[in-house]
Amino acid sequence: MKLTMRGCRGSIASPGPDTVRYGGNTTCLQIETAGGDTLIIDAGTGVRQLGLELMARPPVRCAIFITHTHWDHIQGLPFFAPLFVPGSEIRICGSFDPVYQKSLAEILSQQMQYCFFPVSDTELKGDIRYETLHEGQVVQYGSATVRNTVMSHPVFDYGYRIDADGRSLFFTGDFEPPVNIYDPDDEEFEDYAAGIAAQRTVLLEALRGVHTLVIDAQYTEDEYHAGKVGWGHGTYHSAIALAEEAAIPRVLLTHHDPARPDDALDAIIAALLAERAGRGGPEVIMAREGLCLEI
Amino acid sequence: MSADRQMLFEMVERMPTFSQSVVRILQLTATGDAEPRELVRLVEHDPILTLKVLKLVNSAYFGLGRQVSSIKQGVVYVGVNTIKHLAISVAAIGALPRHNAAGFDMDAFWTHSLVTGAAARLIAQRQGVPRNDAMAYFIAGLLHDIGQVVLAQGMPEQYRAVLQAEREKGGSIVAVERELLGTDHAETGSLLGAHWHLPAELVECIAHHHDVAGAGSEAPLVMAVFAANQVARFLDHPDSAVSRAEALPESVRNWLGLTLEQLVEALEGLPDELASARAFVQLPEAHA
Repeated sequence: MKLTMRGCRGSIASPGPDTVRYGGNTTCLQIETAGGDTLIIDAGTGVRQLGLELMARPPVRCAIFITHTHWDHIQGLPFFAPLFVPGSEIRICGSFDPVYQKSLAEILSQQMQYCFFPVSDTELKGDIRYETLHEGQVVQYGSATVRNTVMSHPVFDYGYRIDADGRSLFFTGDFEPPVNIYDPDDEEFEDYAAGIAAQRTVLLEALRGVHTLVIDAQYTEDEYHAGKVGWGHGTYHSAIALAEEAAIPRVLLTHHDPARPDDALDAIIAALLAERAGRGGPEVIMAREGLCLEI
Repeated sequence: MSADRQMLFEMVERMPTFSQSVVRILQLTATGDAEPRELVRLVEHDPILTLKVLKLVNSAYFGLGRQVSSIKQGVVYVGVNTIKHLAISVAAIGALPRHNAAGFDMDAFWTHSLVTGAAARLIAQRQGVPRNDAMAYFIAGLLHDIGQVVLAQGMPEQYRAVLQAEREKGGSIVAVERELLGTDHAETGSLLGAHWHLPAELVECIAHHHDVAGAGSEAPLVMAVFAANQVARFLDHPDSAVSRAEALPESVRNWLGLTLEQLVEALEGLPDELASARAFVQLPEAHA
């Protein structure tokens, strides 16, 4: 199984001279199995270029898994060329939207309403099948098995685990390790802490045996504690800590802040590696667009 | 009354929440940085918001792998914004009139629900229920009478007659409801809970909160809520719409090792809970 990062940026695409090396496109992961199956997690702006490349070998068959429907995870979808081409077979999977009480198909078609986009979803020529997944639903796509886990984020968000070729990858989507909303002195503190611990247990179970963890690490510890608590994103250290706790040998840090230039990402990864030198634990990699790894 | 049952489900689907909650939610969410603790407290203290949040997160649409039995668990599981937006959307439906055509006193109902919830939690702690499970007792107490609101809103004319008959003749409200409506608020509340996939113990508790024997002997949640309900009635203001307390049946007395009067004495902190419930039910402006 091979992973290619097609977009690592969080929040909004951020092209420019300072984001050339790590890339400005928003979240998109491409997974190719040895059997030739193509899976995509999230359709941020990075999915546009991927679509063009896939079109070199028509007909395109792929499955797209959406972690959640915030813009930076779906905005490239209307520009995914295979959708427009007869003969494409595309399966799009994700959760129900609990706030708007709408299926994934309804939410995604909204961004193709005429006021937002010139082509409506009814005009797409590919064979597109939407599937709303319940938690824990196992999807078999060719040689790959995909399982979801509800992740901690202010809105409903699925992390996905893909198992294929005897290897295993997990992508968190947006993820902030849950924080106790109570003070230790509050009567409710323990009750809430027990809820957090229960969620952690479920997550660790989902991560058992995973070889590569791709995880939201948008902030430094300082940034996080200076006003970003509760925004739904993790830190470099919380990301590595989860990989360590789950005994995952490799962790890719992604969902880079749109305001973070390449040089800053270089400095951060250098500091992390220096801090971890000689300590063992997971291999830590700063995700960049185009990075291709054998899982 | 299957056609009526469907009507009741649909009515509750559109049922607004208490006017006090609407005001508080709109105040709290007027800025982007609503304090999660306040939001949780607000939802947890409103039976209709609690019911609707639990209904939503346990629905098949949501598709969760585990059942959610408290608001806090819901916040950890599905995110605080999900809960916040749900609360806003319930608030946006509007406010329940504080005085309705059935003559059902909403403020008294709400105070009684909060006190029952608090008493059920105190009883759970006294009986050695683990702290993390005690929240389920609060919720069961909070929701035990929800069927009364459903009936009062859904069939106001008939329910007015029920309340009047209860006042004039005395006796159990359940018996009067059965006689005049062919159903009672315990059945109605539990039907709603089952229809909305609420946790089975909660549904059973709502169904049997007037009938401990019907729930079987191994149902501490039912016994706790039965006792809490009587404690709350014992403490309720005499002119509230809720009738006076019944003695505890033998099974509950044995479980607690106390009579109702002894239980009221034993639950330290209950007067504070009662005062706090009454304050919460005040309109926020008046309370601010």
